[in-house]
Amino acid sequence: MGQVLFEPPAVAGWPGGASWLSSGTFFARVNFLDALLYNQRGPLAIPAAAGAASPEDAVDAVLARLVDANIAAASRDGIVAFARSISNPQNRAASVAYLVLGSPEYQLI
Amino acid sequence: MISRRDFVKGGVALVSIGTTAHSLLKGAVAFAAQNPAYVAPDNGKILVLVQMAGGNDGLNTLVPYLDPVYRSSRSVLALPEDKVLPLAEGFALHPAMSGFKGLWDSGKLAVVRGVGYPQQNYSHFKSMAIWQSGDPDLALRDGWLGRTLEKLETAQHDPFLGFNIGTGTPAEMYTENVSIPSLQDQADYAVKVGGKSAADGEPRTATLMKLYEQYPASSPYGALLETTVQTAMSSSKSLAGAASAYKPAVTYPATSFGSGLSVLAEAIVGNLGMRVGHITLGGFDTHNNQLAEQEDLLKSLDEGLTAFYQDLEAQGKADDVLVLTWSEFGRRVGENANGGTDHGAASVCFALGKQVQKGLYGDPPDLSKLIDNGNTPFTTDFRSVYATVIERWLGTPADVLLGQKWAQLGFIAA
Repeated sequence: MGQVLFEPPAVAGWPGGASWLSSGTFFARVNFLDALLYNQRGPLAIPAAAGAASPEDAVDAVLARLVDANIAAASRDGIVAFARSISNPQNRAASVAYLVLGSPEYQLI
Repeated sequence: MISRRDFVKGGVALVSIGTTAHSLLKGAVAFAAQNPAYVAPDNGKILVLVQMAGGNDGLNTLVPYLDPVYRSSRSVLALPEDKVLPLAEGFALHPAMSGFKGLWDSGKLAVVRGVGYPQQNYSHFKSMAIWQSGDPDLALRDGWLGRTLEKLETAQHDPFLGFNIGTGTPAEMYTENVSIPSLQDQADYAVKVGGKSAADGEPRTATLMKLYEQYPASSPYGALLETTVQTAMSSSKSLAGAASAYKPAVTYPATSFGSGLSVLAEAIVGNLGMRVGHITLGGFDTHNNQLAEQEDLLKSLDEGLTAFYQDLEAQGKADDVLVLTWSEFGRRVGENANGGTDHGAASVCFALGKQVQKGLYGDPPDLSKLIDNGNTPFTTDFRSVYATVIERWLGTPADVLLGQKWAQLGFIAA
């Protein structure tokens, strides 16, 4: 994600501020999520979301844990709509986690 | 609440609503990239900077093969007179650099000798920081190319204006005002689903993009977040487009340096608006076993850059590209007991390209007048090299970027 361990770009360390948000680091972050959440063994087990009673509950469980449920209603609706399109609870949980961890809200945490 | 769409549509009128000019500019990036009428600008002259990391031994790169002090100081490491590739004035290239010799013979290569700075720092870390900032006092802000890229920015904000092959922004290209894509492999510069690049309209990616579109521009970093992601997506497409259209005219060496150079060539041939490219070849810290190690490294450098030049020549781009190499320091004149050399002072820079004025520039260091325990004193300040490149090649005034005026060298015509 652009910060190689023990290899800062300058004596001052890694640059802060808005520099963490570039096109390259965006791809690195979301592709890390893709690799983590859908690894070689299949979707990562996320019991709090996979065991939810409905797609809505799965989304809310993830939102509550990752962004303090602090997200625009339209964005929540978008994630819910996507969650409904996936019937397998494990897959659904991993996809919801991907979207929340990749969301603009989460990038600022 | 202002969505990104409204923000872009509203343009300047909305700036007063807590949005900075900076994020408005970023907004223009995504807008320009989405606009079907978008035309890549004439990308002007392009600099490709090659970092030879670790401190390259300049004396065994541009060899003073007739100098008796060179031979007497290096009983193991001195390169045989009948193997080196003579250029001029008693200097020859390392035997592994036959491609560079060919470029010299056809007038495409210049070498700057004795490049360094006052009070040489012998730490990799510190000396690299000095070269990267362009200031031995480390008082200038950010990197020398970062500051230069700010001047080269256009209203169009080409995402690949500065482009790095590697994992993170190199310090010399860093500035908080221009974002520098860094990548090792073109395939990684895209959203992946199950490890593969997402196709157009792939539902999960489409949902993620929607989250960014809906994110209020007035939130902290709002416009920057949305537009960076928009830029990422559109530039990923342009890079993929450039990659599929690009047919290398030569076979690049099967090394990461070779494949990285081919990605830079792809960006150049694809007219992505790149003005500064950067790539690193590491491992020059040859304390041990230097004969074999440096030979391998110089061979990689030579084969990679020769292929790069030939490719650009075949693609009709050779007139637009200048390659410049640098290393944080040279190495001591005397060899050590392990068949290697220790950290030194002045070293050599290569300038390579169709527009280069062939020749040896800078005075050669006098090997009989050493400093600091056996090191070559510098004869040419590295900022003279930078000033030449910034002003004569990239076409922007150098004094303000380097903090003072530096004499320019003739490897680029004034």
